[in-house]
Amino acid sequence: MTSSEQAGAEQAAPAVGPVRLADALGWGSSALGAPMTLAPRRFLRAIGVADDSKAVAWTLGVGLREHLATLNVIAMRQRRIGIWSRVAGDTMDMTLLAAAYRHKREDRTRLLGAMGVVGGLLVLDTLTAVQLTRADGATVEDGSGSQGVGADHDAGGGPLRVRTAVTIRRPEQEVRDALRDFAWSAFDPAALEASGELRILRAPGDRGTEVHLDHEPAPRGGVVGAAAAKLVGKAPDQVIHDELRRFKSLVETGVIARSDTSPEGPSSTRQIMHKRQPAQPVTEES
Amino acid sequence: MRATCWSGRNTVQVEEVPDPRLLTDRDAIVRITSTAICGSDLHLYDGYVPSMTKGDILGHEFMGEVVEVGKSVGGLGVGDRVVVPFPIACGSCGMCARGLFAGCENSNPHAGMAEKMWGHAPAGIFGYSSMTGGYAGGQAEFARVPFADVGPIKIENEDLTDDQVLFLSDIFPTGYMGAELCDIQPGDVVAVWGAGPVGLFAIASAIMLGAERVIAIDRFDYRLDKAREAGATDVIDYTQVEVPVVLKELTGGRGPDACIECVGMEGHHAHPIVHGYDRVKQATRLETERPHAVREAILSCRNGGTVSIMGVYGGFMDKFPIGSLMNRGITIKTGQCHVHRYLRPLLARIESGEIDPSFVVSHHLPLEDAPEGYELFKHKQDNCTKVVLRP
Repeated sequence: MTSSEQAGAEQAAPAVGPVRLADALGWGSSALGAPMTLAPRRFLRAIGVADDSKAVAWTLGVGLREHLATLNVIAMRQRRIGIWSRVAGDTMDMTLLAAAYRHKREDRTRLLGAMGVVGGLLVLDTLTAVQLTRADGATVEDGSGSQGVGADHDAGGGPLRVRTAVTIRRPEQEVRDALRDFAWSAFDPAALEASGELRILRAPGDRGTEVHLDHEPAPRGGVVGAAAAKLVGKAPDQVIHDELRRFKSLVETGVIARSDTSPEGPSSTRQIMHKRQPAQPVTEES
Repeated sequence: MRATCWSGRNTVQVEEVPDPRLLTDRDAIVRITSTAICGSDLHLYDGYVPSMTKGDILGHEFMGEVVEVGKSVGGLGVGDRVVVPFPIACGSCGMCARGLFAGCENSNPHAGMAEKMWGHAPAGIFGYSSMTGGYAGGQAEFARVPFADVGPIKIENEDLTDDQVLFLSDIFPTGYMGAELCDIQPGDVVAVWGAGPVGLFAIASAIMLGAERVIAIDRFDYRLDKAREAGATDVIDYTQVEVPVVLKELTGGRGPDACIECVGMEGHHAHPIVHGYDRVKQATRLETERPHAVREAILSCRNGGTVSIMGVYGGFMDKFPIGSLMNRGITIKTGQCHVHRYLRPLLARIESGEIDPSFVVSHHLPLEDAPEGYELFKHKQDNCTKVVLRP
């Protein structure tokens, strides 16, 4: 019922900036992590460090961290966060190697070589992370985390804007009358039509009437309040989508479709909290 | 009332739950006399369908007697004997107006969830996860039926038994739609993957719609025997032979004119490595399907033929043979069944004696034995093809 932009991409960071380099570094993490987790003692000997049990434990831990970095960058597509975490990891590794140089050195040349490699990676990771961060700042995030689609944030974290549309299979006048009579809580259709944020168009053919919304709800509760509202399905875009669905159902069918898990009709809150209420008959009006 | 509730992977329990009551003026309450376990219930049972909650009442194939109606429900009264379609449809939206009832725009209050995964939302379905609306199902003593003036069909012929009309709720129309989508012409050869209940009705429907030959593919002898009973002219046990090779032989090298896939996301492949590949990817959630039958149907179909997919799929498959599909001009048609538009014509075929759908039933059990019914059906024990529960 709504126009979709980047549906299903809500987890993924936008693919901008030095993406290929970031992915190569992401895969490189596991390439390095594999010998650490599979053969930690041989790995330690290869970099010239004494393979006592404490060093082995550290090596296993660092190896595991490397695999997590790959998961983060490659599987979760969280390139910016993933590469910054590599910068932190490189710093930690330099500290560990420096400690090893003082207390557990077995082969000075090999250990210095390892420190050189980590130092080089630290520079490369930092440059990549900075570029990814700059590139991210210039992009638009569409519909992230919204129920339904069409909510977007302007570049630079501007106010929430809801762009959506719904088709009601009824003549325009009937839809106008119903818009006026419906108990809206999310917006005032008359005011929004006057300001041009709500438009009513005839759908092509015999498809009825389209209601288009391009609206910036007034911000409430700051960043924390907005995040909290989103978590419980009460963010402005979520409430708008719920009300538009109820409105459509009421105008087209005379009732609001109610299920056992959403007895009040379409509800973002119920969809987020659906694990709390199994699909069993409800005992009292809620 | 007593109801069959999902309580986690591979577990259902018959529990005491609240009785349903009217929530809108267009609802009716039905006292259920017969209800069946569907192959798609097994996908829920096996834990492959997302957004299930412990305690969800299962079941979307049911019939019974109307015991209460909302004040806006026209044409239906207390005491009427009805079969209820598995998709819930409002009858008034753009999709319902086109006869695409399984795409109803109003009946799924959890459309937002479905849109995230599927782009747009399908209709609400009884007892079929939160993503399809979060409706309580019909493997119970009673069910609330929304938009009751649109879906349920009255069965006025008292000579017809429950077993003869119950499957109008899903599997008969689903199998029929699978065949109808193939636009079968005289002389056509149709291959059907899966000789479960939907496959059996697809076979019978393909014959009714004029197919010259119908080839059934399965791995259980007793199901292939049922397929012959349904009208299949040839049967293939895919564990014994290579299906595409045999299909070529049987069709003079052309391939079947139409292929109907009635298997779904938990398919098997005779080759352990091929099967293992998708099994591992599915278990690790790298894909949601084991789509052996879809691949094989596309590769087997003749140039320019039609593949109709009636098996249930949930998300994303791997190794989709788009090259074969595109270069050879295969048409794919699919969909949850628009049951409402088939109710009357198929009831007429039952009344005329052209088909008796009760041939698919292998087991009758009391509702309390639903857990046993799920196990029988899942593991194909005791030559199980279809379990009907009697509350």
